[in-house]
Amino acid sequence: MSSITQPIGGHGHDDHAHHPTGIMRWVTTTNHKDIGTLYLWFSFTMFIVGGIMALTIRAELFEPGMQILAPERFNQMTTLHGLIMIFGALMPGAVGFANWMIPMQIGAPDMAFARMNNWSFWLLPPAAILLVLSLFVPGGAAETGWTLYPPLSVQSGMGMDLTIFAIHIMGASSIMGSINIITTILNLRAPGMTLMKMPVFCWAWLITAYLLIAVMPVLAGAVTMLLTDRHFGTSFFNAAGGGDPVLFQHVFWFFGHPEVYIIILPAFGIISEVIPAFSRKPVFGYASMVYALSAIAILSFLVWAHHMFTTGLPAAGILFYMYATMLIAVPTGVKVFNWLATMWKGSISLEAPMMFALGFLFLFTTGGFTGLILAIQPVDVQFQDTYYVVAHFHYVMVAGTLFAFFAGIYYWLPKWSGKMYNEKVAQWHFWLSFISFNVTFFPMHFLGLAGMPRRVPDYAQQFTDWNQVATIGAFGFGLSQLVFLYAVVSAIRSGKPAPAKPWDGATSLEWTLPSPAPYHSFETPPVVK
Amino acid sequence: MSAESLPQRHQDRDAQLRAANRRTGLGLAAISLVFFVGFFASRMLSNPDVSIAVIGVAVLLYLAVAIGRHFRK
Repeated sequence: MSSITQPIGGHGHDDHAHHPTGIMRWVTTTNHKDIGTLYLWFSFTMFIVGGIMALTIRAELFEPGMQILAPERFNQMTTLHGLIMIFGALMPGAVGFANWMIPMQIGAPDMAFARMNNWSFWLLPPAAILLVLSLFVPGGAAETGWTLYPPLSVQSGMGMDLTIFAIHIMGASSIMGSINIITTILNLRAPGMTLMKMPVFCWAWLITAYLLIAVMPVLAGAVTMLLTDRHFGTSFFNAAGGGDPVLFQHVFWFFGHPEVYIIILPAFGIISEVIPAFSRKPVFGYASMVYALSAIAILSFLVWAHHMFTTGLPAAGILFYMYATMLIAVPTGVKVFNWLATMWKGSISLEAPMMFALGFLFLFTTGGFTGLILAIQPVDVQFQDTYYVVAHFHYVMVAGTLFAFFAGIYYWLPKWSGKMYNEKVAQWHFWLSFISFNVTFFPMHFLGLAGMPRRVPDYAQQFTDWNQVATIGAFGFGLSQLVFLYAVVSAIRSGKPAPAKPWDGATSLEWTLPSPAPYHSFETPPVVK
Repeated sequence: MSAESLPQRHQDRDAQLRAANRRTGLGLAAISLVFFVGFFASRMLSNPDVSIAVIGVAVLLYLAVAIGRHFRK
């Protein structure tokens, strides 16, 4: 990170008299910190909603046979769990971090389009309500899985229309958020803050925002085609009318695979802030970290059909997508080795943010390796739609992104709230989450290897033991998050006052501000050398 | 520098910044729109694979140009 050559001018006046108070503060706010807070709490709420659905699914799978859910309800739960976790919890969570941290890390007073920022957030709650309400309309929610494949998505009931509408709204929100982030980073950096001096977190978000701009309209196009097929007599995906259901798979995964990186790249950014801070060393290979992020983003556009190995592809296509997918391991490996090299001979301390970062490193790498195995087409043909795939992407999404979010929250909470969290409670949160996560998802590898199919509410007797272990782990993981809620709420309400820079090794601009960060910061930009 | 010209310079700089933000924002929004419409267009054309490939290449070129031109700033 660059050094600041002159004292920060104009931290701004923390004048709360100039904005509304109470509920109107949150409804009308254009302040990036308020909006970041809204995003993070919304994300946590959706995490609880999606988590309850996950626990319902796991309760059903505790033993073979049908217990608490009808088969169509089970499929609706898996669909909504996926959509809510991806569009409601993980993406808004990442945008919450972006809102809070990007202006403070680049020395900007706020986001470039402050009003649009407010609108981007307030589009999300109606979309989430539509998704959840779809459970209660005639026919229930979409039961297609989050991939919404036709022909089922063309034929299913009104819940699918609500889902499509919700996706449109959330897509619009994401695109507006991305435009805001890119414009802020490109136009509002402090003097001297060149792109190659920006914190890695900002780079990760710059690249993520470009990905979003490129792929969200594609998803919007795909679901609009689905809508016109359903209601306006078109046949984009309807084979009976000359359409092609496989086209939807191509278009969906052209969005869907970069979406995986849209979710994980901001997590990489957070980890790239936390590991250097707690190793008390600058990040190893800054430039290679940036190039690796860019390479991952570019490659993410070229591998979508590895999700379609069983759909039927020409041999040349299979080989291309297989090798291109394996190639992603190279820049990802660069990042993992750089994080390890950052820790090498560092003065490491193991506070909660670092523990979650290490947990991320270990478990994300495990998820990455199983991804590499799935990239091998002959193997993927065996594992397609089994619990092996479920284990793989939960190691990437939960232990990857969610653990990085926890690391980021514990790392920046003192700056956001001006209060320190209770280290002991946070350590309990880490260990309970780490253990229960592995108890939940590691057995799914065995279930998948043994051939247990996903998205099916019943299973053969021989899968019972590992399913029971997974269900116990899932409830443990759910309960562990109550510890997290306690850690955060108790810190905000009664934590010890935090100094401006509670972490020795933290070097980026936000740590030059007092804690809590003033309502308006960097009104006069700092000069960075 | 006169006492009056300093605020004037600040105002000019703010106006320039707002205009630059608008230009960047509109450019990015236009690209989103092209991708949205592009996929309908790709289905209308006889060979969707070609048009999807063209859009894919456009994405990559756009990434390279958009970030590249800001690299030294």
